[in-house]
Amino acid sequence: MSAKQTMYYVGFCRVCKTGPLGLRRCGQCENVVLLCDECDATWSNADLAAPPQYAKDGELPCPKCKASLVESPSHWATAEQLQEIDWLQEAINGGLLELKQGIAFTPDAADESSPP
Amino acid sequence: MRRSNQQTIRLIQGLVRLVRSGRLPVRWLVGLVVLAAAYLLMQPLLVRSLGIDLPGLGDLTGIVSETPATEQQPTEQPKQKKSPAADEINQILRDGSQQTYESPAGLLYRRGSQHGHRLKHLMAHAKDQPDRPGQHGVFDSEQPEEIVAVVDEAYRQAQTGKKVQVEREGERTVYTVDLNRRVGFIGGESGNRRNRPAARHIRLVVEDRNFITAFPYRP
Ligand SMILES: [Zn+2]
Ligand SMILES: [Zn+2]
Repeated sequence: MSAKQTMYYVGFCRVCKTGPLGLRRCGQCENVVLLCDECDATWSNADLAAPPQYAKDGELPCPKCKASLVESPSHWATAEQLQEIDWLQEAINGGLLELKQGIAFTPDAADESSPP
Repeated sequence: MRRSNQQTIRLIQGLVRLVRSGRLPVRWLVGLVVLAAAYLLMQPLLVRSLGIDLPGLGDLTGIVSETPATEQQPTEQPKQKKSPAADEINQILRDGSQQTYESPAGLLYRRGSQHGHRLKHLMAHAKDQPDRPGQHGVFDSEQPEEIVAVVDEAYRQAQTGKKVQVEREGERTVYTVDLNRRVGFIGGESGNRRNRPAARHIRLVVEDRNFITAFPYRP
Protein backbone atom coordinates (compact mmCIF):
# COMPACT_ATOMS: atom_id res chain seq x y z
CA MET A 1 0.00 0.00 0.00
CA SER A 2 1.26 3.39 -0.92
CA ALA A 3 1.07 6.27 1.52
CA LYS A 4 -1.60 8.90 1.26
CA GLN A 5 -0.71 11.42 -1.39
CA THR A 6 -1.42 15.07 -1.65
CA MET A 7 -3.38 16.00 -4.72
CA TYR A 8 -4.28 19.47 -5.89
CA TYR A 9 -7.71 19.56 -7.45
CA VAL A 10 -10.18 21.99 -8.96
CA GLY A 11 -13.75 20.97 -8.22
CA PHE A 12 -15.44 17.73 -9.22
CA CYS A 13 -16.04 15.71 -12.36
CA ARG A 14 -19.29 16.40 -14.18
CA VAL A 15 -19.31 12.92 -15.76
CA CYS A 16 -19.30 10.74 -12.67
CA LYS A 17 -20.29 13.58 -10.30
CA THR A 18 -18.00 12.30 -7.60
CA GLY A 19 -14.31 12.34 -8.51
CA PRO A 20 -12.17 15.35 -7.69
CA LEU A 21 -10.42 16.76 -10.78
CA GLY A 22 -6.81 16.31 -9.86
CA LEU A 23 -3.92 18.08 -11.55
CA ARG A 24 -1.91 15.32 -13.14
CA ARG A 25 1.54 15.91 -14.54
CA CYS A 26 2.91 13.81 -17.37
CA GLY A 27 6.18 12.23 -16.37
CA GLN A 28 7.55 12.55 -19.87
CA CYS A 29 6.56 15.95 -21.33
CA GLU A 30 5.56 17.67 -18.05
CA ASN A 31 2.18 18.57 -19.49
CA VAL A 32 -0.45 19.01 -16.78
CA VAL A 33 -4.06 17.90 -17.30
CA LEU A 34 -7.20 17.67 -15.19
CA LEU A 35 -7.83 14.02 -14.37
CA CYS A 36 -10.90 12.70 -12.60
CA ASP A 37 -9.77 10.63 -9.66
CA GLU A 38 -12.85 8.41 -10.01
CA CYS A 39 -13.64 7.77 -13.68
CA ASP A 40 -10.40 8.83 -15.40
CA ALA A 41 -12.09 11.46 -17.57
CA THR A 42 -9.40 13.93 -18.67
CA TRP A 43 -9.47 17.59 -19.72
CA SER A 44 -6.47 19.29 -21.29
CA ASN A 45 -7.26 22.70 -19.86
CA ALA A 46 -9.77 24.75 -17.90
CA ASP A 47 -12.50 24.35 -20.53
CA LEU A 48 -14.50 21.79 -18.60
CA ALA A 49 -17.48 22.19 -20.91
CA ALA A 50 -15.43 20.55 -23.65
CA PRO A 51 -15.83 16.80 -24.14
CA PRO A 52 -13.39 14.92 -21.93
CA GLN A 53 -10.98 12.25 -23.11
CA TYR A 54 -11.29 8.77 -21.74
CA ALA A 55 -8.88 5.94 -21.12
CA LYS A 56 -8.61 3.56 -24.07
CA ASP A 57 -7.91 -0.15 -23.67
CA GLY A 58 -6.78 0.40 -20.13
CA GLU A 59 -4.35 3.13 -21.14
CA LEU A 60 -4.63 6.78 -20.21
CA PRO A 61 -2.26 8.58 -22.60
CA CYS A 62 -1.02 12.12 -22.20
CA PRO A 63 -2.86 14.24 -24.82
CA LYS A 64 0.48 15.79 -25.84
CA CYS A 65 3.04 12.99 -25.94
CA LYS A 66 0.91 9.83 -25.42
CA ALA A 67 2.97 8.63 -22.47
CA SER A 68 0.90 7.02 -19.74
CA LEU A 69 -0.62 9.46 -17.27
CA VAL A 70 -1.20 6.62 -14.84
CA GLU A 71 2.15 4.92 -14.79
CA SER A 72 5.27 6.28 -13.15
CA PRO A 73 6.85 8.77 -13.56
CA SER A 74 3.53 10.62 -14.12
CA HIS A 75 2.22 11.96 -10.81
CA TRP A 76 -0.03 14.48 -9.10
CA ALA A 77 1.53 17.88 -9.67
CA THR A 78 3.10 19.74 -6.77
CA ALA A 79 2.24 23.35 -5.86
CA GLU A 80 5.49 24.56 -7.42
CA GLN A 81 4.87 22.68 -10.64
CA LEU A 82 1.42 24.23 -10.88
CA GLN A 83 2.89 27.73 -10.75
CA GLU A 84 4.29 27.15 -14.23
CA ILE A 85 0.98 26.18 -15.82
CA ASP A 86 -0.33 29.27 -17.59
CA TRP A 87 -3.85 28.09 -18.41
CA LEU A 88 -4.32 27.04 -14.78
CA GLN A 89 -3.05 30.30 -13.30
CA GLU A 90 -5.25 32.27 -15.68
CA ALA A 91 -8.30 30.25 -14.74
CA ILE A 92 -7.57 30.65 -11.03
CA ASN A 93 -6.95 34.41 -11.35
CA GLY A 94 -10.07 34.78 -13.46
CA GLY A 95 -12.14 33.02 -10.80
CA LEU A 96 -12.95 30.16 -13.17
CA LEU A 97 -11.28 27.50 -11.07
CA GLU A 98 -10.46 27.27 -7.41
CA LEU A 99 -7.39 25.31 -6.39
CA LYS A 100 -7.75 23.03 -3.38
CA GLN A 101 -5.51 20.54 -1.69
CA GLY A 102 -6.74 17.07 -0.85
CA ILE A 103 -5.84 13.41 -0.54
CA ALA A 104 -5.71 11.32 -3.69
CA PHE A 105 -8.06 8.35 -3.95
CA THR A 106 -5.82 5.99 -5.81
CA PRO A 107 -2.41 4.48 -5.23
CA ASP A 108 0.13 6.29 -7.33
CA ALA A 109 2.65 4.19 -9.20
CA ALA A 110 5.05 7.13 -9.17
CA ASP A 111 5.16 7.21 -5.38
CA GLU A 112 5.77 3.49 -5.08
CA SER A 113 9.04 3.88 -6.93
CA SER A 114 10.41 6.37 -4.42
CA PRO A 115 9.45 10.04 -4.79
CA PRO A 116 11.98 12.47 -6.29
CA MET B 1 -44.20 -56.37 28.42
CA ARG B 2 -46.28 -54.59 30.99
CA ARG B 3 -47.49 -52.12 28.43
CA SER B 4 -48.47 -54.79 25.94
CA ASN B 5 -50.50 -56.52 28.70
CA GLN B 6 -52.39 -53.31 29.29
CA GLN B 7 -53.00 -52.99 25.59
CA THR B 8 -54.35 -56.51 25.48
CA ILE B 9 -56.67 -55.86 28.44
CA ARG B 10 -57.96 -52.69 26.80
CA LEU B 11 -58.50 -54.57 23.58
CA ILE B 12 -60.50 -57.27 25.38
CA GLN B 13 -62.53 -54.64 27.24
CA GLY B 14 -63.36 -53.01 23.92
CA LEU B 15 -64.44 -56.34 22.45
CA VAL B 16 -66.58 -57.14 25.54
CA ARG B 17 -68.33 -53.79 25.08
CA LEU B 18 -69.03 -54.64 21.48
CA VAL B 19 -70.51 -58.04 22.50
CA ARG B 20 -72.67 -56.44 25.22
CA SER B 21 -74.06 -53.90 22.82
CA GLY B 22 -74.95 -56.80 20.52
CA ARG B 23 -72.80 -55.62 17.65
CA LEU B 24 -70.48 -58.62 17.95
CA PRO B 25 -71.74 -62.24 18.31
CA VAL B 26 -70.20 -64.16 21.26
CA ARG B 27 -68.69 -66.90 19.09
CA TRP B 28 -66.85 -64.27 17.05
CA LEU B 29 -65.43 -62.94 20.27
CA VAL B 30 -64.24 -66.42 21.28
CA GLY B 31 -62.67 -66.92 17.88
CA LEU B 32 -60.92 -63.53 18.05
CA VAL B 33 -59.60 -64.21 21.56
CA VAL B 34 -58.20 -67.57 20.43
CA LEU B 35 -56.56 -66.00 17.43
CA ALA B 36 -55.16 -63.18 19.51
CA ALA B 37 -53.77 -65.57 22.11
CA ALA B 38 -52.17 -67.63 19.35
CA TYR B 39 -50.64 -64.50 17.81
CA LEU B 40 -49.32 -63.33 21.19
CA LEU B 41 -47.64 -66.69 21.71
CA MET B 42 -46.24 -66.95 18.24
CA GLN B 43 -45.09 -63.36 17.72
CA PRO B 44 -41.79 -63.54 19.68
CA LEU B 45 -40.95 -66.87 18.09
CA LEU B 46 -41.67 -65.59 14.60
CA VAL B 47 -39.64 -62.45 15.20
CA ARG B 48 -36.71 -64.50 16.44
CA SER B 49 -36.82 -67.24 13.82
CA LEU B 50 -37.71 -65.16 10.76
CA GLY B 51 -35.85 -62.01 11.75
CA ILE B 52 -38.82 -59.87 10.80
CA ASP B 53 -40.49 -57.14 12.81
CA LEU B 54 -44.10 -57.95 13.66
CA PRO B 55 -46.40 -55.48 15.38
CA GLY B 56 -47.79 -56.17 18.84
CA LEU B 57 -51.54 -56.18 19.41
CA GLY B 58 -51.49 -52.62 20.66
CA ASP B 59 -49.95 -51.55 17.39
CA LEU B 60 -52.60 -53.35 15.44
CA THR B 61 -55.43 -51.67 17.30
CA GLY B 62 -53.83 -48.26 17.07
CA ILE B 63 -54.14 -47.78 20.84
CA VAL B 64 -50.57 -46.68 20.95
CA SER B 65 -49.50 -44.88 17.86
CA GLU B 66 -45.79 -44.97 17.97
CA THR B 67 -45.36 -45.05 14.23
CA PRO B 68 -42.92 -42.26 13.53
CA ALA B 69 -44.22 -39.56 11.21
CA THR B 70 -42.93 -40.32 7.75
CA GLU B 71 -39.65 -38.54 7.45
CA GLN B 72 -39.85 -35.29 5.51
CA GLN B 73 -37.74 -35.35 2.42
CA PRO B 74 -35.12 -32.73 3.15
CA THR B 75 -35.85 -29.82 0.85
CA GLU B 76 -33.06 -29.11 -1.60
CA GLN B 77 -30.90 -26.42 0.00
CA PRO B 78 -29.02 -24.11 -2.34
CA LYS B 79 -25.46 -25.19 -1.76
CA GLN B 80 -22.87 -22.63 -0.73
CA LYS B 81 -20.73 -23.60 -3.65
CA LYS B 82 -17.63 -21.71 -4.48
CA SER B 83 -18.38 -20.42 -7.93
CA PRO B 84 -15.82 -20.15 -10.71
CA ALA B 85 -16.63 -16.42 -10.66
CA ALA B 86 -15.26 -16.17 -7.12
CA ASP B 87 -12.00 -17.72 -8.28
CA GLU B 88 -11.76 -15.34 -11.21
CA ILE B 89 -12.46 -12.36 -8.97
CA ASN B 90 -9.83 -13.51 -6.49
CA GLN B 91 -7.24 -13.93 -9.20
CA ILE B 92 -7.71 -10.31 -10.18
CA LEU B 93 -8.02 -8.82 -6.70
CA ARG B 94 -5.46 -10.94 -4.89
CA ASP B 95 -3.06 -12.20 -7.49
CA GLY B 96 -3.05 -9.12 -9.71
CA SER B 97 -4.28 -10.94 -12.80
CA GLN B 98 -5.01 -8.56 -15.69
CA GLN B 99 -7.66 -10.76 -17.25
CA THR B 100 -11.07 -9.39 -18.14
CA TYR B 101 -13.86 -10.47 -15.82
CA GLU B 102 -17.38 -10.77 -17.22
CA SER B 103 -20.10 -10.46 -14.61
CA PRO B 104 -23.28 -12.58 -14.77
CA ALA B 105 -25.17 -9.57 -16.19
CA GLY B 106 -22.52 -9.15 -18.87
CA LEU B 107 -20.51 -6.20 -17.57
CA LEU B 108 -16.87 -6.38 -18.58
CA TYR B 109 -14.31 -5.46 -15.96
CA ARG B 110 -11.03 -4.81 -17.72
CA ARG B 111 -7.63 -3.66 -16.71
CA GLY B 112 -7.34 0.11 -16.45
CA SER B 113 -7.95 2.92 -14.01
CA GLN B 114 -5.40 4.13 -11.54
CA HIS B 115 -6.04 0.97 -9.51
CA GLY B 116 -4.76 -1.16 -12.39
CA HIS B 117 -8.04 -3.05 -12.87
CA ARG B 118 -11.65 -1.85 -12.84
CA LEU B 119 -12.55 -4.58 -10.36
CA LYS B 120 -9.95 -3.24 -7.94
CA HIS B 121 -11.33 0.21 -8.47
CA LEU B 122 -14.83 -1.05 -7.65
CA MET B 123 -13.50 -2.60 -4.45
CA ALA B 124 -12.10 0.76 -3.41
CA HIS B 125 -15.78 1.55 -2.78
CA ALA B 126 -16.07 -1.27 -0.25
CA LYS B 127 -14.48 0.97 2.38
CA ASP B 128 -14.82 4.57 3.36
CA GLN B 129 -12.02 7.02 2.65
CA PRO B 130 -12.91 9.74 5.14
CA ASP B 131 -10.27 12.18 3.87
CA ARG B 132 -11.14 11.87 0.20
CA PRO B 133 -12.40 15.23 -1.09
CA GLY B 134 -16.13 15.37 -1.73
CA GLN B 135 -18.35 12.30 -1.68
CA HIS B 136 -17.15 8.74 -1.62
CA GLY B 137 -19.94 6.19 -2.06
CA VAL B 138 -19.40 3.10 0.08
CA PHE B 139 -21.19 -0.23 -0.38
CA ASP B 140 -22.65 -1.88 2.72
CA SER B 141 -21.07 -5.18 1.71
CA GLU B 142 -17.34 -5.74 1.64
CA GLN B 143 -17.60 -8.98 -0.33
CA PRO B 144 -16.46 -8.65 -3.94
CA GLU B 145 -19.08 -11.09 -5.25
CA GLU B 146 -21.88 -9.27 -3.44
CA ILE B 147 -20.73 -5.90 -4.71
CA VAL B 148 -20.45 -7.22 -8.26
CA ALA B 149 -23.99 -8.64 -7.82
CA VAL B 150 -25.52 -5.36 -6.69
CA VAL B 151 -23.82 -3.55 -9.57
CA ASP B 152 -25.26 -6.21 -11.89
CA GLU B 153 -28.66 -5.61 -10.38
CA ALA B 154 -28.34 -1.88 -11.09
CA TYR B 155 -27.15 -2.61 -14.64
CA ARG B 156 -30.06 -4.96 -15.34
CA GLN B 157 -32.55 -2.50 -13.90
CA ALA B 158 -31.01 0.30 -15.96
CA GLN B 159 -31.65 -1.73 -19.10
CA THR B 160 -35.31 -2.12 -18.22
CA GLY B 161 -35.57 1.65 -17.93
CA LYS B 162 -37.23 1.37 -14.53
CA LYS B 163 -36.29 4.02 -11.94
CA VAL B 164 -33.19 5.04 -13.80
CA GLN B 165 -31.80 8.32 -14.98
CA VAL B 166 -29.54 8.07 -18.02
CA GLU B 167 -26.84 10.56 -19.06
CA ARG B 168 -24.55 10.28 -22.04
CA GLU B 169 -21.16 11.88 -22.34
CA GLY B 170 -19.38 10.90 -25.52
CA GLU B 171 -19.01 7.13 -25.58
CA ARG B 172 -19.91 6.89 -21.95
CA THR B 173 -23.28 6.17 -20.45
CA VAL B 174 -23.96 7.05 -16.84
CA TYR B 175 -26.89 5.44 -15.05
CA THR B 176 -28.29 6.60 -11.76
CA VAL B 177 -30.38 3.68 -10.60
CA ASP B 178 -32.80 3.74 -7.68
CA LEU B 179 -32.65 0.27 -6.13
CA ASN B 180 -35.38 1.17 -3.67
CA ARG B 181 -33.43 -0.07 -0.65
CA ARG B 182 -30.30 0.92 1.18
CA VAL B 183 -27.18 -0.29 -0.63
CA GLY B 184 -24.55 1.81 1.11
CA PHE B 185 -23.76 5.24 2.39
CA ILE B 186 -21.98 8.42 1.46
CA GLY B 187 -18.54 8.66 2.98
CA GLY B 188 -15.56 10.78 2.07
CA GLU B 189 -15.04 14.25 3.51
CA SER B 190 -18.47 15.52 2.63
CA GLY B 191 -20.35 12.35 3.61
CA ASN B 192 -18.63 12.19 6.98
CA ARG B 193 -19.46 15.83 7.65
CA ARG B 194 -23.11 14.90 7.08
CA ASN B 195 -23.00 11.82 9.30
CA ARG B 196 -22.70 9.32 6.45
CA PRO B 197 -26.16 9.50 4.90
CA ALA B 198 -27.65 6.27 3.54
CA ALA B 199 -27.65 5.70 -0.21
CA ARG B 200 -30.19 3.67 -2.16
CA HIS B 201 -29.02 4.67 -5.63
CA ILE B 202 -26.07 3.37 -7.60
CA ARG B 203 -24.29 5.54 -10.08
CA LEU B 204 -22.86 3.32 -12.79
CA VAL B 205 -20.52 4.52 -15.52
CA VAL B 206 -20.05 2.27 -18.55
CA GLU B 207 -18.71 2.39 -22.10
CA ASP B 208 -20.86 -0.10 -23.98
CA ARG B 209 -20.59 -3.13 -21.71
CA ASN B 210 -17.29 -2.03 -20.26
CA PHE B 211 -17.49 -1.16 -16.60
CA ILE B 212 -15.75 2.09 -15.66
CA THR B 213 -16.96 2.72 -12.13
CA ALA B 214 -19.96 2.32 -9.82
CA PHE B 215 -20.72 3.45 -6.31
CA PRO B 216 -23.61 4.16 -3.92
CA TYR B 217 -24.95 7.60 -4.60
CA ARG B 218 -27.49 10.20 -3.51
CA PRO B 219 -28.80 12.24 -6.44
ZN1 LIG C 1 3.10 13.99 -21.95
ZN1 LIG D 1 -15.28 11.38 -13.11
